[in-house]
Amino acid sequence: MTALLSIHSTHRSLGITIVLVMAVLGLDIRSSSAQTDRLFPKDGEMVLGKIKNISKGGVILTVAGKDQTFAAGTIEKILFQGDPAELTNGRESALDGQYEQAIGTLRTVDVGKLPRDVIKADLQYYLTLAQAEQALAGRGDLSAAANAALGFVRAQADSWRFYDIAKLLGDLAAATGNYDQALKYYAALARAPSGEMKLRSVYESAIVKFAQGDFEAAKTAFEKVAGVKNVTSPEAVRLRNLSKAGLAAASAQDGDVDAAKRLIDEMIETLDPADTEVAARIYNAQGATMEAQGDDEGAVLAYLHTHLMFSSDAQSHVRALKRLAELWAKVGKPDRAAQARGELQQRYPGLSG
Amino acid sequence: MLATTAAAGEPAQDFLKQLRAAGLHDQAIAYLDRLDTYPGVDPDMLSAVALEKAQTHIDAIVTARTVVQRDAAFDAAMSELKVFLKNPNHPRQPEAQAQLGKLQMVRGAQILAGDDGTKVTEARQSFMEAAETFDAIIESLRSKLAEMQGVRIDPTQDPEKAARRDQYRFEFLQAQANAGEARLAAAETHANPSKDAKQVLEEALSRFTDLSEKYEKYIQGASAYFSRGQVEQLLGQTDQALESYTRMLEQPDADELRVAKMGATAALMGMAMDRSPPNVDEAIRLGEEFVNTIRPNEKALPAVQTLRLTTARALLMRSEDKKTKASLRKRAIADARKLLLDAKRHAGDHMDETESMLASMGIDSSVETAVELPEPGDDPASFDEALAAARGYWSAGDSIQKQLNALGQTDDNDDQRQVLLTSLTKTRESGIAMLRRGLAMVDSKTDSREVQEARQLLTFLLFSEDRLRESHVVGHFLARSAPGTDAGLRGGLLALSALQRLIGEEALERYVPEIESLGDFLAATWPKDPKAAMAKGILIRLALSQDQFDKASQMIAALPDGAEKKSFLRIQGQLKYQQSKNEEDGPAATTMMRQAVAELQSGFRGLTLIEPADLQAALTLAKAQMAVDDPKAAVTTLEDPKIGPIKLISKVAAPSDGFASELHRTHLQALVGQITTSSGDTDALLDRAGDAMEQLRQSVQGEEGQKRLISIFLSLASDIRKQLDNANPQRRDQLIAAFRIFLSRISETTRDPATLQWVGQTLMEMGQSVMLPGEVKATGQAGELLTMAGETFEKLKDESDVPQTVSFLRGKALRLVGDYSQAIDQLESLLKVKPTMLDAQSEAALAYEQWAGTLRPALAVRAYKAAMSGGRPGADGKNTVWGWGKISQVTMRQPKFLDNFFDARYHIALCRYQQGKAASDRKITEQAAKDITSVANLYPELGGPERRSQFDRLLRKIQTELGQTPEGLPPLARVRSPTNVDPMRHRLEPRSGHWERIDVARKTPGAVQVKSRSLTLHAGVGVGTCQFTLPREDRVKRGEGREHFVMLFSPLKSPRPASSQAPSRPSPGRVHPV
Repeated sequence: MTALLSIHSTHRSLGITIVLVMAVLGLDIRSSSAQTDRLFPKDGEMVLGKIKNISKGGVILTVAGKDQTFAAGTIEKILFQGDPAELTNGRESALDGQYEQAIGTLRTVDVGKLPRDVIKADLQYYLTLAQAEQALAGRGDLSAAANAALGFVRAQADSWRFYDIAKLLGDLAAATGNYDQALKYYAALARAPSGEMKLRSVYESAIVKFAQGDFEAAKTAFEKVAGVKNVTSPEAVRLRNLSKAGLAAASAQDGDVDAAKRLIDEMIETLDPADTEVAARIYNAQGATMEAQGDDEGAVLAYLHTHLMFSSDAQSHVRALKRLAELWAKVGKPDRAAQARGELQQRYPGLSG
Repeated sequence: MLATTAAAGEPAQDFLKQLRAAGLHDQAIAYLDRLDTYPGVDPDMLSAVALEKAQTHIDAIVTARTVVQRDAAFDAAMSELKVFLKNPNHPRQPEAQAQLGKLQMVRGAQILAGDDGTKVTEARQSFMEAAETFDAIIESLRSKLAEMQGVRIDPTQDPEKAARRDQYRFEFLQAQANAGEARLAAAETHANPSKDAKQVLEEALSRFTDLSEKYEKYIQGASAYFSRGQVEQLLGQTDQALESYTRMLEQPDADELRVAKMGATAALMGMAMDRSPPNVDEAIRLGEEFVNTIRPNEKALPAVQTLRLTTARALLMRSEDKKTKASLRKRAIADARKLLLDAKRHAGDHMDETESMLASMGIDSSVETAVELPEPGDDPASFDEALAAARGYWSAGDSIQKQLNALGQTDDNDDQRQVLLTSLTKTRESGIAMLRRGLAMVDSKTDSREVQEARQLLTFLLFSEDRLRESHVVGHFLARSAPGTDAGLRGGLLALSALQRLIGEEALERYVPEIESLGDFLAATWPKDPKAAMAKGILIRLALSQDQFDKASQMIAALPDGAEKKSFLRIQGQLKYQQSKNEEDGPAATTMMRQAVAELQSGFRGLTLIEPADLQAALTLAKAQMAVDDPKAAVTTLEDPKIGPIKLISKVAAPSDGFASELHRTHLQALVGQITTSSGDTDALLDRAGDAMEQLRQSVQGEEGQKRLISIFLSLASDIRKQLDNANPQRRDQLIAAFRIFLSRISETTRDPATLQWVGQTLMEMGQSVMLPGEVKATGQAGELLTMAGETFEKLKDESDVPQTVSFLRGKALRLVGDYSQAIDQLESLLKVKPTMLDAQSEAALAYEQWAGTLRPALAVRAYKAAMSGGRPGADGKNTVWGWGKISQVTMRQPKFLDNFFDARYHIALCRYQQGKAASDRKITEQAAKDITSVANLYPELGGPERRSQFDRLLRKIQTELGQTPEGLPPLARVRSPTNVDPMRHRLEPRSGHWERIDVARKTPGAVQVKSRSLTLHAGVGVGTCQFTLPREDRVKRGEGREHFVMLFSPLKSPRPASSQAPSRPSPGRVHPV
């Protein structure tokens, strides 16, 4: 055993093999003083080390004897030494957006046998995340998901996933129409260490204001994010684009159709069709703008963009289908209206109301 | 060419495609109308809006629900194309022209399809307009290509220009082909194209000839052979058409040419069938060759449907050809039916003809339940996809199997069954292929349970397709790689089953170790699983099938107590019973029989639920108990309220047709056995025996049944005789008294011939059993019994269908009670009908002989003469009763009657001796001595030691009578003792047929005596060859359940060289040790 570990310390590439060998031999790795966790930043290479501290703000990892700090919001995931295979698989499914599969796999993990509290917390997070995302996609109970998220926050107040869960709580509250509560949760994001999370705090608040019909406040918030300069991270760029789309929609709703149209055209000129969430928001904003102009046929075409080409973002797709169900009827196509309504109910039973 | 999805800006092309795909053509037109208002749209697309609109309208034609909608879409499409073509410099102009030409072609076809005869001209016009459109394209491209001619275009330097030149070339050739096609279509609108559209056809031919000769290396050029053939055929140029079609089929094997090749094949088939006489075989060969290569993505093509229909037509022609074998004709109908059903699955112009052909075959295609196979498709993209597809195949196979089961086995459904069986095989094979491809994609991330499921499915499908070795390999691997799992167990059991089936097909020895190894593994890995216990069961069955009783016993003993263990005990008990019956009598056979009893009893202990097979086992137990001389136990078994077949036969289905009669026979035998061996309540037992006899009589049906009943009764009578022979005098008297009453009672209460015959036979056997040794005439109790026997037989004399045996027995009974005259009368009447009945001839000769003994000397001399020379001449003057002399002559050269021969020779000598005495004639007495010595010279052994001794005693008497020294027969020079011949296995090689294994034994009761002067077996060694005469079949005892003969070699002859063998002997077989 000692010999194996000494090899491990000098040959990182052999580490996995050795761990597997030990696992196969049934050796108790917890008795070892060595510990190897793998941290995957959102931007950068995987880092191998020993977790020294975990807090809301992030994770301190001891790497080759030196501490490295990773802020919450910049970490993609951590693979802990002692993870059971079911957790590893379930985690990957959740990160891949396969929430139903993730729940099925994660529920097979025997919590009592998990060797470390940090692993238990990670399991709870991914279960909460998957449950919430399913509910937000109209395939689960929003209240139950919110309770689960609250349970996580209470049990894991110092988790580096704290702000992720706060964002989820905001989403769940907004989805149930509890906008004031949602604003509180989103406001909490402003205290997160990462700049992206602070931006998201503003953007999500703007979305809530828009939903509340406070287009002026929404515009102000959207403008704040859309006007941020010198952003480099992909996450921040996305938020800025989303905010522009939101700004256009809010402008249209606020009567400033020309400004809205200008903004939308500008965004379409630089459209990245691969970013379906942003694209869907843009065309939904275009639909709203055209509706505001009284151009029902144009609005239909705009929402059809979302429906036929960018339907992977559930919230935007639901919005497009709801609008199409109304607009088809207005342009004299009741059969297509019924079809849109049927699809809405079939694909998003929890959000079709 | 156009904007791609990766580019920024309005994704117009993609959105347009999505709108069209969703059937939102009106929205697509609306979108194109306002396309210029969207930011970032590709300018090329903006300049081709009219063309895009035309394409959208063309798409709308396909989905149009009404003729009005369709016509409107046509008009709109053509209108938009014409708008677009006003800009001759647009790069997509040739594309638009081609589109217009095609549209005009489609329009023409549409008009014709819905035509009532009034719009032919309109359709023709549309085709000719198309031809003109294509001509214009040709001219346009010709000039463009001419401009490029001579200009050096380097693809590396100017790839755009090079690509454009290639595009122009392609479009030029395509336009040439289309121009020809349009003219061909136009010509075909005429009733007589070769006359009314000769010029148009010649123009088309010119295009196609030009294309095929100059551009054969291009797709359009190669394809033109088919169109060229069509035009030539229309012009009546049959030979040229044949050549063009043939050249079409000779083109390289390219995907793009397959449709043209299908057309050429169908055309060639049609020409073959139109020949006089039709060459149907050639047509079918061509069609089937191509049909068998049709790919999944081609199945819906119109060309494929044409091919299917043409092939079906050829097959139906074959089915109507009376010169063709019936099996081929039947097969042709089945194949045609399948082709037509396949064609019917795809919409198209062929539908009416298809349904008409199906109807002509008497098939209501609307209710035909052909099975749609899932398409194998391309390679699966992932393991998950492969597994999902394989599940589908498995499910489809299951569904087909259910349909097959529902069809039953009647001949009426043969064709449909064949279709379903073919579908089933294809489905399973597709599943196997899919799983193989999927399993090749397994990696460390693949869910192990799904991998196990895939392997389990693969094992099952392979097993179902009788790919047993592969099934075994996959299943075995699954079991070993997934121990403890359900999938592993199932895989292992399937592997085991595959091995079992292989044993049925191939050498046993090869697979036994594998079966044992796998069976042990399964039983050890899944010790508590009842399914794994099945593996043990297989091993036990295997051991039993090889008569490895010790091994089987050990495994059975290791099984947990329960129904399965008992079941195996019953099976083993029955096998041991059979084995014991086949063994030579001796301690080993007795021990095995006792084991059979014990195991069968254990197997029935506590058993309450009885199956048909258990009835058989219980009957075997009773037989085994009989065989160990315990008839009382046998009766108890048979009458047991829980397992006794006598009690249960009315509640449980009989395991076989002859079971009931076999059961009642055994019951009767057991009861009789109990009567004769115990001193219990004989009367009560006799009553039960009477009931059993009645049951037995009712259990046999028909003529064969009656014969069997008589055989059973005679056998039973013989048994009783044996029992009586072995009983002590006091017991024998008791039994005879009891049986006499019993038989009288039966005789009085029945008129059933078989029963009465049994009664008579039994009385005779009893009577003979109480006659003293050497006594010729029965007196006292024996006389009474034999008189009763005669009276019983007398009752049968007026019955029709009474076997001749009854007359014989009556004659014998009369002789035994000394009523010789009547005996000879009786036998004479029988011999008049059946003169060759040797037993009756002997009986009549014996009656004369014994009668002579009772007469005064003068009459005795005549009677002895009659005994030797025969009497009772018939209408032809020949004696009906042959006498011993003729009997010996008849039997002398027939080996199977050698015993009769020596018997007759003995009686001749005896009669002569008695005659000489009666006549006081020394010469006759001397002749009697010569009778013996002359036979002994020819046959030194005189039919065996016993018979030789008999001859010897008589000769001594004669010699004494003659005043000579009673020396008797000279001793044999050398006689080998049969005791040296140990039982050993030999094989019998008849002159014809296959060899059979035989057991050569010497003491098996009822076995055959093989008699031969040419016997050269080396006694005591057990090797060498044995030339012998094949025994009489009716004296061969065929071992029950075993294909070998049991034979008794007796007596053994002195070894002689083969050359000294008597040439008159019948052809021998050969016996070799194995």
